Amino acid sequence: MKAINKVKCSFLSLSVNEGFARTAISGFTALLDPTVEQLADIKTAVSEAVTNSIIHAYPDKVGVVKMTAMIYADNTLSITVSDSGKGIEDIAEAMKPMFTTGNPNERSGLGFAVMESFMDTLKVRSKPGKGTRVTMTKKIQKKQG
Amino acid sequence: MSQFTLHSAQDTLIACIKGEIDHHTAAGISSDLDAEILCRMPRLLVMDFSAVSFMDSSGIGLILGRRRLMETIQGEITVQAVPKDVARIIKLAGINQIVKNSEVKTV
Repeated sequence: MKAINKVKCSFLSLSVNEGFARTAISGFTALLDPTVEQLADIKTAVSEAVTNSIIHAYPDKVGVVKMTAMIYADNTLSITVSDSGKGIEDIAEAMKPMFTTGNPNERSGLGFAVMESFMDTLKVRSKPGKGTRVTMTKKIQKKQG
Repeated sequence: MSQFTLHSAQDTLIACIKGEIDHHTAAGISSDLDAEILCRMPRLLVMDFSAVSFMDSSGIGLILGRRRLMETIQGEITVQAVPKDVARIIKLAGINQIVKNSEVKTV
């Protein structure tokens, strides 16, 4: 299926840009007339993906995080968040709820679990030393009546 | 600028957290709140989420980290007035029991 609308942005891996990414995706998602709950789901999932890139992909430096969002004719929203950071050695392990390589006192290890639960689909591709790409989709059902 | 306001009564410290909780804001909230906890040494910490407009899993880390701190000073923690969207992520994290059910907002 071909996308009928598409936006792209890239930003530095600074934590202050987590809020920017949520605002940007909210603006694009608004075109699909989502419910308040659907919009909250999407903002949360994007926040998790972007935070992962900021914390884990570039732990000791500032890099670039890219976000691409597309809308398909069937009202599906697809969001890709990618980085050129250190990558994930073992994706299955990284996706386990409560697994974190971050500070265990402050990081819950729930990022991927949230993305999985709040979106319809989640795909993670990563190459150690090359970067990580997270693609997630959610169909925004047209409101009744 | 602190992202929460504090109220205290006897041994209870109530922290009303405002705005968005993400990885960016959680760091400041936790360090400021920890300083207050260690200074006041409450028996009960109540985290009030009624003015929280957004929370991702960083908020779970924020709650669990404060729970750990309260445990080290032999205190307890509850979370109250949780907006619906925030409640879903708390449920996903499996820490529902920390929320004082009677005060969960069901809007």
